[in-house]
Amino acid sequence: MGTEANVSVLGRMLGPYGVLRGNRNLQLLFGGQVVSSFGDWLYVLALGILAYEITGSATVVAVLTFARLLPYAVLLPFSGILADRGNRKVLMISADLGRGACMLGLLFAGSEETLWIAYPLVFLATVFSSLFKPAMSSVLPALVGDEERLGEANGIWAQMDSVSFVLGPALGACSPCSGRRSWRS
Amino acid sequence: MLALLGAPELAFVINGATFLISAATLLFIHIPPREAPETAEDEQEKGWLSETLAGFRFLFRENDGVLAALTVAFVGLTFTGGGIWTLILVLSDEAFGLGTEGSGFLNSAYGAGGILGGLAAGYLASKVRLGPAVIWSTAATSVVFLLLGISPAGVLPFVILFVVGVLDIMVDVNGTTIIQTGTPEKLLGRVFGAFEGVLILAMLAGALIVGPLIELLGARATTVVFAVAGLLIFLTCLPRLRKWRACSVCGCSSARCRCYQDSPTPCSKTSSRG
Repeated sequence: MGTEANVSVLGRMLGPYGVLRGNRNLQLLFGGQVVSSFGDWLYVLALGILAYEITGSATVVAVLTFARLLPYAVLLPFSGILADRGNRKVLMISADLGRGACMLGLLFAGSEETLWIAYPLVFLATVFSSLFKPAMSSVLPALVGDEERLGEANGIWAQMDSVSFVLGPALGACSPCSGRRSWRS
Repeated sequence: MLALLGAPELAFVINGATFLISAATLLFIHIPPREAPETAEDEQEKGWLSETLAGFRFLFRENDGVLAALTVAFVGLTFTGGGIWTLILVLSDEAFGLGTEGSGFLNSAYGAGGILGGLAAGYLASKVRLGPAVIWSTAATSVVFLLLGISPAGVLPFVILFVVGVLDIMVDVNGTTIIQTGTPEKLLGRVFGAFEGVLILAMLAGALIVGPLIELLGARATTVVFAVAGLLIFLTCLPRLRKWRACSVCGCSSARCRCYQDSPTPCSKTSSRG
């Protein structure tokens, strides 16, 4: 009986995942974002480690973090217009490709002489993320369809982000250097 | 993995690859066309500045200020969030005797709480009204975070951060859902842009102020100051937030009703969005 009750509780807790059932678009979106979110936490972690290993300076790490967050504050209100007026799918794909290119560019920032490259690339990567975020948030209700189930979809998304938050730093064998959406970036 | 390979650069390659995977999955997604076509009124709003301000206008002027109250309450939490990583690092080292490496475990406790919080928020989304859920979880987050500043070393800091993780994700999910359900689709991008932009500014402010405050007051006192600041900001918003408890839109008293007072977009029982 106790086992049945436990199963029932677990079943109810996993109930929100039912919103994914039969919704291929939502499955694909969440699948892609889980992978991307995992990579993001690795990136945040590695950026701090790289800068600190090269310079030994916490200030450099802080300035890089500032460069990483600043475009959000400046650009997010403007990029919302693109999400409302433009093609959200094209916008998100372009942002992903842009961010991917920035990550590859960071491979050249591995020494004290070339670390300066990281500042514009980190800035630019966040510019692309600023394009992506409002488009992602605004497209979710349309993909879920049923407004009553929107909370469940948001819950699943937040949970997946938390899993990435735990696994990313754990695989990097270190804690994250800063920031996440809830407490909040 | 990165430590084993001794190459932080590998993370950049992995992250680049994950963006390619994300782009590839997006290629196969069909996004339904927007519900509301452009109107003559929309046409008058053309222009970057005017269009950008439309997001802020909706957040802070429409809805009789209910979304403004939500945003300001979130600003309080996010301001604290801007300082939390530095606080955890210093608290771990100086207050809890865990060393700087202990901050990784404390952060993991927060992340683990977020996993449970995501499950709980998704489960509760269809059981409780969003307004009260946001009120209780926002208040509880600040109160529990305050406990971190006075917690003795040992297991308790981990438990506190786990609970903060649970509550914080619940605040996040419920707040996001309120905005998504209470905003016309044609404005969603701009409203989210304005909302997130304000929150990031608050986060930057918290991140900038936490260092000098720790130098001045110490890590424990700074934690209490941040928590009290978040709580005070929340309390100033409470009168407006409390209006969400009663539904004046559809008149129902169902626990499943997700309306909030003065919403221009009644819940799905009475009207469709748009």
